[in-house]
Amino acid sequence: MSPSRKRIVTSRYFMVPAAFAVVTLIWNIYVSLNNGGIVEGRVVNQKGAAVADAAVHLFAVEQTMSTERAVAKTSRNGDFRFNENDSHRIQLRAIGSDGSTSDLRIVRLYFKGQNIELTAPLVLNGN
Amino acid sequence: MSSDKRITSRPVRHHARWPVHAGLLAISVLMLIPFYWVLKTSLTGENIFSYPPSLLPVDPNLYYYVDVWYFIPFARYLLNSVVVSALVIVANVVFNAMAAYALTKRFRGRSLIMTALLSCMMIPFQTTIVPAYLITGKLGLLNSYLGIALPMLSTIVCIFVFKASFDAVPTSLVDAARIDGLSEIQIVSKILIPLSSAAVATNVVLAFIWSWNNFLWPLIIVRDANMQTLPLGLSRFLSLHETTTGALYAFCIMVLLPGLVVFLLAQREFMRGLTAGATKG
Repeated sequence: MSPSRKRIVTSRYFMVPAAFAVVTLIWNIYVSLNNGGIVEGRVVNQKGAAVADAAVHLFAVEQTMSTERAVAKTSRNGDFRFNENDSHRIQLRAIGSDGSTSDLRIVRLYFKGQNIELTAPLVLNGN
Repeated sequence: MSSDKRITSRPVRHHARWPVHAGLLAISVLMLIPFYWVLKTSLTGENIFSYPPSLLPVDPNLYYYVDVWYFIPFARYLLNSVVVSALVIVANVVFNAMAAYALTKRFRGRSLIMTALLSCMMIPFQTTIVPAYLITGKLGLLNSYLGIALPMLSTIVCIFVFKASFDAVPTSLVDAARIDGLSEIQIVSKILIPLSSAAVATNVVLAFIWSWNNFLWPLIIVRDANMQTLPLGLSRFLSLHETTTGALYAFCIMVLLPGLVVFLLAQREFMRGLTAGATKG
């Protein structure tokens, strides 16, 4: 590499924008690999036992209001899964077959459709 | 024989510098508190009127930045600001250099022109908005990038920064270039500007900051929401989300960041450009 070209490449006017470009590229690659829109979690009762056949409602939060986008039923193990979330800010509420409901869980994501698995289960409160 | 008077040197007394540094540090911290508060609130979204205020961020997160990115067309506003600033920077460097080179020459009416330029610096832009709008309209540049950049394509302060830098270049160098057959434009572009990196950096930084933060002129001539720049977007965001402090402050940080980066990159040359010619010899 010629000395002048080396000087350009090692100068801060090149290195800083190049660093930003590299970080942006890496972030976009990560987003494209993880934006399947999958939201997974589990519903349990107050005793911690899995609740089957509970309806989990997913709301997408817009600027000033939230709208319901999808409903999923829990499996025998209390697991639920949404496959087409396209929002970055969602709310989840579980309603058991006996009418008990969970608190509204707010889930914030780093980008639209980010795949996420809830760390804490939705807990159905008693009627 | 006369007695030799021995010159004894007195020991140099070093005054302690730490009180000065401590005072400057305290003043710096005081100046930075508002910026720190904006940054802290953008990470926590806490109520700014809460008492007592918390000094350290509680449960910091980046979600408010995500909200700003998606709730408004931030990428579009960013692109608009970048295009307008790029136009302003290029035009400033070109036009200001040409004007400054002309002012380094001795010609009839030069002092009158310089007096007129200095006088025009005292006229606030707000008083010339109506004629500026009418001229921009006649040129068919309303609601366009060039129209937004038009009033900022040249600034008088930066002309004089270039002039001070060009005055420091020996005239023999310019004469030698002219003898070698260079045109006046080539003298400016190949001799004077390369020797005036500090002035160029000063022009770039000032032009960028003024165009990036410009609110009033884009507010007047922009009609289409897609042509809005970041300051207009911030104002629109504020009108829509008055209570979302976290997102609003995150927007402020995102608007501030590019200007800060540009200044930090070019600060050495910028300071050199501002102080060029301040000391003789």
